[in-house]
Amino acid sequence: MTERSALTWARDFLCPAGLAKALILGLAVRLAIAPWTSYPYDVYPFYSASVDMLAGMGMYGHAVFSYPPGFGFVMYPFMLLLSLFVDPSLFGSLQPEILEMGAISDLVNPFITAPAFNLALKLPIIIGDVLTASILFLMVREWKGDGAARSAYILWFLNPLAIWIGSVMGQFDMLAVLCTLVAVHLFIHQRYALAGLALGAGVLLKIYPAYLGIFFLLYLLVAAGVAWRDRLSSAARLVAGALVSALPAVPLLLTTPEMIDFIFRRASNDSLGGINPWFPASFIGSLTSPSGVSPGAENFFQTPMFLMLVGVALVIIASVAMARSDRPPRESIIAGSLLVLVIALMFRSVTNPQHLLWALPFMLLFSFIDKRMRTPMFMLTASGLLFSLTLRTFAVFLYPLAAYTPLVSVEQLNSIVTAYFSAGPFMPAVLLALSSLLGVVAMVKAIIMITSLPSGWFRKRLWGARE
Amino acid sequence: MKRAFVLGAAVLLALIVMAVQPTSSVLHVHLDVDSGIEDYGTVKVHYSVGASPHAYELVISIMPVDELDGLPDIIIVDVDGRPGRPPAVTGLYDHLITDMKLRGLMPNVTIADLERLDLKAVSKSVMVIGEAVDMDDDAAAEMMSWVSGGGRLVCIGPGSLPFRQELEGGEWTGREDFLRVKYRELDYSADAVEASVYAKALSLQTSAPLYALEKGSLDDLGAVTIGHIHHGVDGDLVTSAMLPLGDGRLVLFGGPITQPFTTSGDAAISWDILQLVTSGGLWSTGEPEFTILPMSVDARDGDFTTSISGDMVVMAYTPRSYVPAYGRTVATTS
Repeated sequence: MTERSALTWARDFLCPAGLAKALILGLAVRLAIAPWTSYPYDVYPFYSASVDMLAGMGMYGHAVFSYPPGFGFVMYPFMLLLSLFVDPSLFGSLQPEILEMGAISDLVNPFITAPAFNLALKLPIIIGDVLTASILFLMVREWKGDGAARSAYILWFLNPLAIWIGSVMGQFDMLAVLCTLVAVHLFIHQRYALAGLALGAGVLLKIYPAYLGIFFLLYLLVAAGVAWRDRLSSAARLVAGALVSALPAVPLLLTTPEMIDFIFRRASNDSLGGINPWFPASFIGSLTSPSGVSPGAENFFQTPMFLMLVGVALVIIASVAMARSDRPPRESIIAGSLLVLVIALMFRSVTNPQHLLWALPFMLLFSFIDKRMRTPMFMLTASGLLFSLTLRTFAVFLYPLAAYTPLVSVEQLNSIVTAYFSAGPFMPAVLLALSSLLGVVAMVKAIIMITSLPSGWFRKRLWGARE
Repeated sequence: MKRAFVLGAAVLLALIVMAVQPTSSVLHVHLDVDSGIEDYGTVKVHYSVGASPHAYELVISIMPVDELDGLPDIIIVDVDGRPGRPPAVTGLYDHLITDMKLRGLMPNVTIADLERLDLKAVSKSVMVIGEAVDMDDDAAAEMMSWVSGGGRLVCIGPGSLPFRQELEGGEWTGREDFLRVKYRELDYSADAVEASVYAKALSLQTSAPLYALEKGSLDDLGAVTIGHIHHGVDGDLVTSAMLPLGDGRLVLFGGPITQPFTTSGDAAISWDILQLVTSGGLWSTGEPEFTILPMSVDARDGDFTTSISGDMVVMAYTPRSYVPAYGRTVATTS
């Protein structure tokens, strides 16, 4: 590839023909809201990891950051650059007035990060948004042509939940989503080592792409009509790629071995709920225990670990079934990836709005197999947004605006949240439960569409022999 | 072009991976204590600290103490008996371990199940109960005598103190020698908070628990407020207090351990516990003296005087996480 053609390719990849307006609009919205918004509960670990890395203590320095190290690697250059212009002492400030909301303030950290910090944190996520839209364009174009690819790009890049999670909440799930899409794209093209590499990079950001790893591995191993030697060779390349991607984590494992505890123990949660079938547990909990302190599980079968093991078992079953399905390989891989990720979402102890992004781009891809998938996709988008807004109202996302501009005050935002809860926890809990229910219905609907269960199963059993 | 791009990306990644490795634990503050030569009854503290990458503030506290032993072991008690460790316990453990490591201390923090706890084997330890505990009277009395014999017990939140009387229908019930401590829901107001001398000297962070301790009931027991005082029309509430009990100390925190973790959760409480341990607060015989020094990025040294005499612990630290500075020394003056 010549230098000129490489640049042309990069330009076409980042801004596909006919999509400049969508790109500019999406970027403008993101960059306009990114500095002035944040979710103070979620952003503090990123603040802590940033200042710890800048001070030479490593991202796990104060045991607040409990994600795998990938996002630390990603945000460090942005924070280093920011620290050249803004002293880390000005990255954020304590706003004790937020605590005046009492028990309601449990999910709002009174430490509010500065607009410059918010922008530096969200810039890599916004770049990830652009790359995700581009890879979706690429995947759909080679499969369904330019027109479909353009609609995929627009549907993703202007998806309100994608904008909300990255540019308002500052959650980096989009970067893991990008890795899973790249991995699926490479897997479809049978570039297994690179697919493993992309998947491993995703696991360095968030653990969940490991579910796709199970699917890929089983898909290769149980695929019909392929010699065992070839199956094993493909699987070995996938695993080798994944192992290579783990190399950046090795030095940290040596210097901070306790990071494993932080990721797997502290990140685990002994409560159940969010946008998954177990939301009634949190609904009842929010009515009976306003402090949100979980009483814990009575036995192993009530623990998140048990739930996760059930999820893994179902993922294995689904992977084998999808690997043996008679769909064309590309459709089988896309359908299998979506199915596995929806199972992962449903069998989590807590499923938050940002986790919905894991499945959404695969729903979008699947909608080019069966357009009806757009309905659960929009339902899931609405569920994530409603859940975010009904948890503690929109006001909690505007605290940076209140803390760093005279446009609105912390007290005014407090009063919005307090008014929302003024009639007691029942109404907010009902709204939260309804938004969860919407998401669960969307997930169930997606599973039914992918698997054709139960109608397809009955059709096959009852009439399959005659067909 | 493609190869150059891949190579460049690999080099950049390698540089980032190297840059984010923990390279230093702490900016060490050297401390020396001299008995006042010019002024009788005063003590001169000399400090020196190297250059730092950012501006920060350094706090130096001087705590009068009745013991100058080394730092004790810390035992976090898991009281619930359910499968796995509760987040309240693991959260405290993780924060205590990392905060101690950052100060260059060798942490000896363990988690112990309540039913397997051998009090005789841990007489010189600091014990932490982070959850509500349901203990029979005999076991609670045994724990009370462990504290009286010189133990240090930290109890976080309502129900976490084993040897307590319960208020039922306006009447106190339970063993007469057990303590009468009352908790009340805290209606936080930023304008009505006052930091105690301990809270200022040690930058204690636990400031907004859901339930705080009634100051009146603590005053009756002769407790010292170490946290923040919330003034209110129904009487003052405090976020943490220390109570001498025989030769030991009982520290009571409001609670339970919950969110936000920077003011009411594991991060704040573990910081407070560590500050009380390293500053000598758990062995204090009086209020600490302290000074707050605004620091630039340059190295700096200087002196200040204090009127504290006898055994003392001098500690330098920064409450700001972006410049970890720490120093500690113990001294005896006549």
